[in-house]
Amino acid sequence: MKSRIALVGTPNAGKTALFNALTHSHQRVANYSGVTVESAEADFFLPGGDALSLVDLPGAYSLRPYTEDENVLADALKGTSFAGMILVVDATQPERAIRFLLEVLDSTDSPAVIALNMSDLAEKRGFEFDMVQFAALMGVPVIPTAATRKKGLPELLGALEISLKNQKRRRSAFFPAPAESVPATRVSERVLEFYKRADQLLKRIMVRKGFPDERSRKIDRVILHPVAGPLILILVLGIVFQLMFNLAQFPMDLIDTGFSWLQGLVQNSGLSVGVKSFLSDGVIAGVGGTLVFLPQILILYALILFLEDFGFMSRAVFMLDHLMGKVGLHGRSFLPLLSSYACNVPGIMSARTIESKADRVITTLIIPLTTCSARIPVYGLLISAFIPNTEVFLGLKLQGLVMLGLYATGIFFAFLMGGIFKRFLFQGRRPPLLIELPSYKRPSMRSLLRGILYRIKLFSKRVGTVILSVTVVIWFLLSYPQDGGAVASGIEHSYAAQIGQWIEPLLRPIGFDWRIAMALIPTFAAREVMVGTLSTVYSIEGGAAVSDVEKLSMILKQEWSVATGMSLLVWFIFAPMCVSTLATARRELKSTRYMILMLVYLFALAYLGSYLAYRAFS
Amino acid sequence: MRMILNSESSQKLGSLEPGTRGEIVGFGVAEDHLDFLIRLNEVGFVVGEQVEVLGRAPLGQDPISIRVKDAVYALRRDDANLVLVQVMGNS
Repeated sequence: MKSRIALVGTPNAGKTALFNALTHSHQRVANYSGVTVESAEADFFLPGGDALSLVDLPGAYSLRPYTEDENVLADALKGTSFAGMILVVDATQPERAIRFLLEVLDSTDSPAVIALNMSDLAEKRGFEFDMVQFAALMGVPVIPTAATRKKGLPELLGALEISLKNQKRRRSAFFPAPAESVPATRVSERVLEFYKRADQLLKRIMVRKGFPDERSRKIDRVILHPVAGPLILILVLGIVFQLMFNLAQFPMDLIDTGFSWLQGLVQNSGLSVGVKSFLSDGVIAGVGGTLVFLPQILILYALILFLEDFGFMSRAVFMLDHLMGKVGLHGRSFLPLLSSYACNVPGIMSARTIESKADRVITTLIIPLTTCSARIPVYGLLISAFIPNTEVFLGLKLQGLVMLGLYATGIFFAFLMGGIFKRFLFQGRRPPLLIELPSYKRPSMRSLLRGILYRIKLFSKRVGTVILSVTVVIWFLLSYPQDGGAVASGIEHSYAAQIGQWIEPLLRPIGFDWRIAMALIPTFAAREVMVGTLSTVYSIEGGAAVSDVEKLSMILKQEWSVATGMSLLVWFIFAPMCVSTLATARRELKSTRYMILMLVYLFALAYLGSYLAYRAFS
Repeated sequence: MRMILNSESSQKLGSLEPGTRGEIVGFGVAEDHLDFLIRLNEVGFVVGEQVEVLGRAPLGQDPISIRVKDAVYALRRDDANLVLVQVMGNS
């Protein structure tokens, strides 16, 4: 196995940019405290040709863990799993840099090199360091770098190569003190003592102090303006969602057309009926039905990454904290909630950056109520089948309004449940907020692209494994047992139908028949499969391929009552129909109880909501 | 806690108007907040350090943004009140 090198640094020091510049993997860079939610790992080469593996660990202000993210770092450094470290600090924040470096160097003993990153910016702002003194006082090489411009990287790798061979360091174990063994007041005293030492070192290292970052201050005057600020925030969110839907339309149509063409190709081929059905109704319908909204996910991610990189996200947290506090949430819940609109799973993972357990649990519990993009195809199908597209007011169409209403209902209940959980699960004082408002930076298109490629990779993996196997299993359950060669038209005798019929009594009060029950089962693997399953159900039942959504919605209109359609729409707002989300929640909160709570409260809301909708429209 | 150094002219950081500069002279009592106090120390809020209140959040005038060392942080006014400041003037 290759030796592993840890990439360790303070938040916003350009650690992930350095990771991207040194390796060839797809990991995003972001200008938001703690955005490295999962540590990425990738290979890189030393000048001498040796291949090593670089691990991008979460950024931290100190090794005394305060957030879950910093816990990950502290745990990682405690072990002996790393052959060496690259310590990344921001040259424009020398005080923080020195403190962090001292702390890490004191409490570890593996060979290390320091990347004094953003040295180009520091130079521009007038900072000057005595590099010889710097390295001498730290006891390890210090290399000025500018990761986004790829400056200083060969020197850094050269220093690392030499250090790995020759460097001997000792752990002085002065800091951090384990929290349990020392009273907190003593910890605080030690912190102060430690900082005195750091400041003394800094005086010897920093020849000249630079100017403050006036540019960021000017931008803040606009973005955080009492009137313009909130308007800009609303505008930005509006544009994000507009782009997500409008920009995605064309590629989505393209993907859709592509898969219909493939289906046609299969249908007209000389393959046997059974194989045709498997390929067309099973594989192509299932995979295509999921891939089709990849553009939406990617666009939302690209925009979030862009805003994070720029430095806008922490400002949004700053502006929204007060408002979110009114419903029992923390300002930091904003980013996890926003990411959840693409997919709940990464949303839950990014909740790691929330310091307090209570806020992290509450945010995680309500995330499934945000409208992830997997719900969009289902909403789209049901709306086109059951909502007339009449003009309501000034060109506003009813279908669009209902879509908006579904989003609004989701977030309304998210906030409502957040308030309820806060009140009954976590009483007491609101945990403090401490968030850095970093300098604005021009987002790097290169790392944006890498971030997007990374998403595509993750998504394709999911489509190729989970979604594909589920679709195949569903196709099997729907198509078997068979008597005779042709696919039996009697789908009501299939295994799936038997399962559906078995559940039906439970779901009859909310207006679902065995077909819907049957189509709901696979949605636990992935919500979006619903559309594919329904089209398979009705293609097989009707004996003809139902390839496109328009045809399917026509069929649903004939087969279902409006009340059933409405009930199913409401069901999809609430129901916890995604195993990955539940599993991620359990893993992140390290608690089965919270996962069960999530499952139960969402099912209760879904059942109740659907029941009311069904009654109201019957 | 021993850290209370409440000279007469000190004010709570959360109560200061935007544009006010000052020097940190001490910290309020924070029995249930010790962890947070240490984190404040760690990011640079230590006795003797200069701070400047830059602004308040547009909605609800809370949190406030504070410059300390080379960085800017957002703190809720309630939490910022843990920090006691000797006012040095306005910018």
